[in-house]
Amino acid sequence: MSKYENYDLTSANYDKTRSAVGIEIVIGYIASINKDSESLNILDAGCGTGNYSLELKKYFPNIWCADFSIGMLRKCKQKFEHNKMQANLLRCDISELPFRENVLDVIMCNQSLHHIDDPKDKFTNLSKFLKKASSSLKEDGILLINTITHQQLKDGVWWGDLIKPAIERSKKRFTTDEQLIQLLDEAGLKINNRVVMLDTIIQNKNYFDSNSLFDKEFRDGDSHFSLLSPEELETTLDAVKEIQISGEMTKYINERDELRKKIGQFTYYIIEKK
Amino acid sequence: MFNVEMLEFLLCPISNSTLHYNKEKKCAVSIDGQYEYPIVDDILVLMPTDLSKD
Repeated sequence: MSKYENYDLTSANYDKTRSAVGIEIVIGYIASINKDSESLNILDAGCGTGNYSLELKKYFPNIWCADFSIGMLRKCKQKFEHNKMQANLLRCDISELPFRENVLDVIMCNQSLHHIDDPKDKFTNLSKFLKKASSSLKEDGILLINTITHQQLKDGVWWGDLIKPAIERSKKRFTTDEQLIQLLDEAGLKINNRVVMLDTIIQNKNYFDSNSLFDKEFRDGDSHFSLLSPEELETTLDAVKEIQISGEMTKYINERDELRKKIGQFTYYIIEKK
Repeated sequence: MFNVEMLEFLLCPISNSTLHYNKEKKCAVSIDGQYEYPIVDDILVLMPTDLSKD
């Protein structure tokens, strides 16, 4: 359950800005398990509208889609039906993952785990999720977590400096590397690898168009904006207007984007049992 | 269409017990019959009732 976004409402706009970025990493690591694809059970934990699941379904028949939001799951179902495919659809609290022990080969979480805790809870639900994930995975199973590092939060998008209050709040929802390592250790898991794609942009369409920030549908695709108060959002948009009027917007975006090119926008953690 | 075979992988989130499918009620039920979980639009709602209200 997202602790700060109403995803039953957001599901209507979500796909206008989001796609399965980094899916090649997911497919590559699943293939590396080196088992018959038909025997693999793959859980998309926090599946949203199913962008990743739909891509995986092309190669792996047994896909599980789990989310707290019924709006997201309904959208997910529609998309599967539209593609004449089926998935196992499950509405649940992913921090209480209701799977038996040793039944899943892969669990993937794409930009979902920062939604499950309030900052005051100090990653309690994340800790519960990781322990449940660890027990649900087979011995050679893998957990793929697609998340954003603190540096990527600030410098992975050109507007990071313009939404500083939201970035600071976001940092309390995303673990540091050290925090994640500790929580994984407590759950009997360890990081096997980290993968960053420098050329991939989460928001793909209209990312470099500064007018996008004035579009609510575009902002709905980036949950950080929902952490701004209405006054802070207004201040942000005023700042964007000022840069536009000064004629410096292209220069501003290009300079900021140099940082993004060096650190990427998101990180995949490849995790296995200890 | 709901895939009943899903239940072989799952547990009741409250009692941690096995689940089975009740054909008449068209829902998942914990093995002791104490907890029922609806299937809404082919989506299994596997959470306590108080949490699953929209």
